[in-house]
Amino acid sequence: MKQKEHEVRLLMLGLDNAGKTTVVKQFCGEDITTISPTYGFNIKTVEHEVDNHEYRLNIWDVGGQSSLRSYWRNYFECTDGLIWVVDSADVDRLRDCRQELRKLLEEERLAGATLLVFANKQDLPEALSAEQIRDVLELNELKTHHWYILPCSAVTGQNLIAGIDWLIRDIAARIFILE
Amino acid sequence: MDSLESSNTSPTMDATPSKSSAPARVLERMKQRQDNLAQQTEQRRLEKESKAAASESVDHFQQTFLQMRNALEGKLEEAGNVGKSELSGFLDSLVKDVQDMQQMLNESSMFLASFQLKIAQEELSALNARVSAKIEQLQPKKKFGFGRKQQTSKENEKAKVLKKDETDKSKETTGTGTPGTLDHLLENRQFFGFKDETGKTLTMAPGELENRQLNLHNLRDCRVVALGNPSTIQAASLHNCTVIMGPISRSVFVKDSSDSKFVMACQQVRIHNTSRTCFYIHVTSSAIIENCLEVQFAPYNLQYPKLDQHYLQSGLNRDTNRWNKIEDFHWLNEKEDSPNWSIIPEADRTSDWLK
Repeated sequence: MKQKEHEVRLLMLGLDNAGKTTVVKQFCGEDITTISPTYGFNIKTVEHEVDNHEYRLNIWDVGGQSSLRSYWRNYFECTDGLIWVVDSADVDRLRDCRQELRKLLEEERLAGATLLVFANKQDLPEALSAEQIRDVLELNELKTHHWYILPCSAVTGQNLIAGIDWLIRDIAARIFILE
Repeated sequence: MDSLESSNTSPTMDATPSKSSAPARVLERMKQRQDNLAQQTEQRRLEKESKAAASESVDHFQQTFLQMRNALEGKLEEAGNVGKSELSGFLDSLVKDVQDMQQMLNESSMFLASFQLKIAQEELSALNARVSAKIEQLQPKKKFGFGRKQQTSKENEKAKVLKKDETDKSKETTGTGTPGTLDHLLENRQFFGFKDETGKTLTMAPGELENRQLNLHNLRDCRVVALGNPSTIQAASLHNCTVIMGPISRSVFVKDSSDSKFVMACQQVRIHNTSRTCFYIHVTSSAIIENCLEVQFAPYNLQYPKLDQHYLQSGLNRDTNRWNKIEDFHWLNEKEDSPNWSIIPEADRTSDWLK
């Protein structure tokens, strides 16, 4: 029996300059050399197949500038999966990064969402490893959300599909429960 | 809330969620989810309406704006009595106050009448001018911090730039703090670039820059010359510095800087909390400013023998340059241009950077 196509809403957040838009564009196979800092948000709808099931992903990519962060909450509603993108080479702002993620995870409206963390910019030699980012963000302490962290490079495309596939499987198992 | 029970399974790095349930239950849950979504949307609409009524009132704005203005004027009066040690922080707080007022004004612009907006903007510009004048008058002369690092000046500059493998080693043997904690990472970080320098010329060879992120932290009265093709640049707390860069493949991030000049070509530029600084840029997508005052722009005009080669390596499109299309993320008023940035008049531009 052919499954009806499922809609999944993904919210992409992280500090500015983390590479959120580049992750989305690279995932969708689009040109990444003309990306501007995001003012407001981009929304991308893309068909994606995981384990022989078709999904329609609505990816909300919201600007990370500090003046825009107070607007993040406008996008929480109905989020199935949260993708938190970290600039692994920006050690100075990891404290901010941890703080902002903590705030998000306390949000009631994100309580049901699965968390995928991308430790981005692994193409830079000074990037911290995914394990280091996991420890800094204290993900091992996190009991309220399903989570997963992967090292990735939005520039080379490394691990982007693997990460999103994991996210979809987790969401599907929670929400759609396939047969 | 739907399907929260599955959230309580203990998460691990490779958590695979369980899959089991009867079809009838699936239908029921899907319907429940639909209902929940509809309900949440309605709730959000109501919340939005009630919030709008409370905060978007002109009276509230007028009152708050007046209070902020009075407080700032009070501080300006007292500025002369502030002690030397607190002066720098005090002057920063004046700039911050103006920025806060500007932000509040921007956020209120949608419900203010245009004359109210205009009056408030004029008051704010006048205050800003007074703050700038006060800073000019009281700021300690730049020569201060000189000599602090004199004793190390004879060292080879390159010795300051830690190579990746060297730091990796020192990390294992001499690391401090508990491994894995943020403090530990901050103390034992790899650092590629220049930091904590005063009054020096700092140069880096093209071969060292390739595919790297160049970091510039806490520099005063310095001249940085890096004629090569790095991947990205992070610059923080640069004061009275000149930074001359070859083409950068991706992004540049400048923050907390003042009275400096940057000459660079790249894909994106983000500038935060920076004032009185000139940017000679080639930017192929766009440059944004946030929390900035008196930042100025001109086209990239650097010339050096290997420029063409480095452009080629960077992959930047030389035909597109949006150096004068600056977006101010702190200026949401679409009717007027941001007062926080301007274009450097042609007659005032510098071009002999490498003399």
